[in-house]
Amino acid sequence: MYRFPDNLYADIRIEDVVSTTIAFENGKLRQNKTRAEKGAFLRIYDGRRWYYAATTELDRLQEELDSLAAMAEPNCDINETPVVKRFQVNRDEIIRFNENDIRKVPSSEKQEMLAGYLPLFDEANGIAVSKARYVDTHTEKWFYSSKGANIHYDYQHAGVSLLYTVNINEVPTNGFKQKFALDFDGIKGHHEEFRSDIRETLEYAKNAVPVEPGTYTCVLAPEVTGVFAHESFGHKSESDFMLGSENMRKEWAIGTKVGSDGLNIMDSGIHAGSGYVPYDDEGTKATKTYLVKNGILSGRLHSAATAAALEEEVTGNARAMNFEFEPIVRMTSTYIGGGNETFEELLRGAEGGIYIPSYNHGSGMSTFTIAPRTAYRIRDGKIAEPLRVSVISGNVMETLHKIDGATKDAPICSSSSGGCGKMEQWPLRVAFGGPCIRVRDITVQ
Amino acid sequence: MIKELYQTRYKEISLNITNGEIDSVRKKNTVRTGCRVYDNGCIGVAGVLGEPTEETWRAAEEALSQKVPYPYAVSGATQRVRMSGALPDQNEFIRSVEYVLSTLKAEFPGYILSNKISAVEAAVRMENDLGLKLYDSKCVYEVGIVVKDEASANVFDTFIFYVGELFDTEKILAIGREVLTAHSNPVPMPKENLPVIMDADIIVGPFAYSVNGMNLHKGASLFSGKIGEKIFADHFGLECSRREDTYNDFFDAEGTVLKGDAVSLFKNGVLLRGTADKLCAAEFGAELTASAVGAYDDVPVLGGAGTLRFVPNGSLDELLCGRDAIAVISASGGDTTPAGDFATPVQTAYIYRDGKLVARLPEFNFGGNLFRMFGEDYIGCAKEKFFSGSAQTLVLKGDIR
Repeated sequence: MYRFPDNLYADIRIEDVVSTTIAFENGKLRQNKTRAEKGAFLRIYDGRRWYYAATTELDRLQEELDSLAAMAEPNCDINETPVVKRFQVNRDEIIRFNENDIRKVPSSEKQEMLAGYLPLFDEANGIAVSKARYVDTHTEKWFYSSKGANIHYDYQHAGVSLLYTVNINEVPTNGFKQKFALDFDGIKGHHEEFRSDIRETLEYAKNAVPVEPGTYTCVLAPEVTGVFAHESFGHKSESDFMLGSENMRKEWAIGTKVGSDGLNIMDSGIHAGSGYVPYDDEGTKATKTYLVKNGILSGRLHSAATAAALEEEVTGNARAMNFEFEPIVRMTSTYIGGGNETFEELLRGAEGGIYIPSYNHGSGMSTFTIAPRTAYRIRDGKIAEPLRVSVISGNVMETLHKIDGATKDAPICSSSSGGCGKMEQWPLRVAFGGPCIRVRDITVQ
Repeated sequence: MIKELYQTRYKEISLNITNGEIDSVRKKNTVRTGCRVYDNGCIGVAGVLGEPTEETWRAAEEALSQKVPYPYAVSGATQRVRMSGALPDQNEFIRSVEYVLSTLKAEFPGYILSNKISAVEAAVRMENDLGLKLYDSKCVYEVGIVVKDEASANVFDTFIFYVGELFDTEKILAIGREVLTAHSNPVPMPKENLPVIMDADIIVGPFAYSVNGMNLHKGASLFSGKIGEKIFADHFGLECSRREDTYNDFFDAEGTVLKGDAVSLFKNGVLLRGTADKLCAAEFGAELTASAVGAYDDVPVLGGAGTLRFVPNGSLDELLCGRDAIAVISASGGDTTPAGDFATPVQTAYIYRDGKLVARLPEFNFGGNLFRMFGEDYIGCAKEKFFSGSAQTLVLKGDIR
């Protein structure tokens, strides 16, 4: 074990990550690699400043720790500082992926499985370029702290994604669909879903017309609702954005009405998907945090530092992209709770509006944005002609009040590709979801 | 069998800023090595953290059994070194950053400063049995200060950016003062449709996709079938550049080095060629554009969006001809439809007058069709960078809503 320096707080996070990437481009094998990386991130805190080091020399961790400690100023009251007091001392081991460990599947079998999806491109008429990609990752993490934390857990996921461009009437339209699973078997046999997606993209490309820019009522499908929750409110709930701002603390006081009645937004690292984080990168156990309950601001996301600064409690949201970065406040699985309408009822309440079933990307600051991949007019309570939309956007502070309907089912969607970006740390795996929702007054361009 | 080594070294000192003060110091020092072997028209790659061992080379040879095709001539017989700068003394760097932060805090007490200021030293080395020996190393200072107006309820309000080979405290302070002074002066949106000064990175995405040689030649691009045609304005040019001022390495992931470190894709509005790696060059008889990318342990693939550079056609003053303009500091979340209609919300923008930012504008939406914005409406690309950094400055006309 490690000799932690006296009169300083210290922790060590070790990550052992094995990942396989296989890619076909236009039917040709372009990549089949298995990467194994093991590294550590060390932190020292003296009550005033943090000192970090990222290293891959695991046999020199003690030396690295001592070198960081030499930069800090010993503080005999370190354990009484508000930040250190908030660090939990968990001792736990959660190994969930022994039985179906994805590392045990030969890469040739993974390549063969991916190749089995390639004929779908040939079946469709009009695909100009295509990419099929398989990615899996198995991660083991160990966390030790000078307070006595000792945590070991694993996580894995696998995914297949098909990306393609169809060219109809000299207008190239991109298609994309991915499947996520927690083990290798889970990503097999989804041919019909991918086939159907390609068919829909072709129809969309043939018939889509430019949208007339303006303000519309939009109905968002669950994965779009999820990215909406993540971008419109999730980032606002990351409390590092509030540090030093008395005004922000007043504006965002717990108990403030921030959305329509019945609106619930939660974040939880417990859900078994791409946002699964049983312990965060400071050793805090995952919790389910209500960010909004019945339209009222009920909580926010914290690291120990932000919880101390705002005199609140940790929530298990201090996360790092990998062993090269320090943990900062991030989301895990963020989702909107279900409502009480059917999908048909939602559409009936959005006459002349726009249905958005899929997206390319989103962003969130004072204005949130979502770039739809596909969009459709809503007419006579039904989904009608396809529309080409660049981006939809709205003011974060106003839009949550404009959700006026939601379906009952609220699935959480996981992703094997991409992730959330915050400053230098991108991509971080997260999940998001919710019901289909109806939102008024969305700016559409 | 040909053996090739592809190695990246990365060192940094990164200072995190919270509430206007340095709250953490992060050190990094990583080496990642890719061992590549070429044999019988195939490539085998194996990677390792740190220096390679015989086991790494053996793993690369074993990877040949995956039969990843690579029937192209391996780069060779070129030797070149380009080096600039090294990491500063840590304590000296911390003192310089503290000076910048304390000065801005004292002069602009109503603003909260956060995020990162870093010194980064990055090096890439490629060597092989054919006599290829390439090495590129540089040290760059990156200032990315996020600014929150104490009085606002936004997550953040504006930014102070700087990228340069020197940590020029007075230049950084000058940028900060200009931004924060203008930010303190809100004005309504002007009635006339002013030209928009915009970081080229905001709008380069659709170009990157459309000039990609594979997309271009296989009919997946807005420009497919148009090589040799005039598509944009006479004064529009686009090139792949690995010149020193771009902060790109001078060679790509396949060891391709360009004559003069650049090649034109568009000249006088005419599409000359798309980007090409060795696969694309072989398949379509295209000219190599040093656009292969890949991590240390990847088989290189066509990419290279980061090397795209618009060709400047005048100074900012010349392009604006004395007119006011709207300078966009932050426009996040925009996208382009398949037909080339670009739209983005603009979160932070200022009025630019007589060579400086003078007033803050409300949020607005900006967009237009690419063929028009870079065709009949195209104003140009400025010779100078608007703020010190690697991104270029475009001056565009479009729809402001």
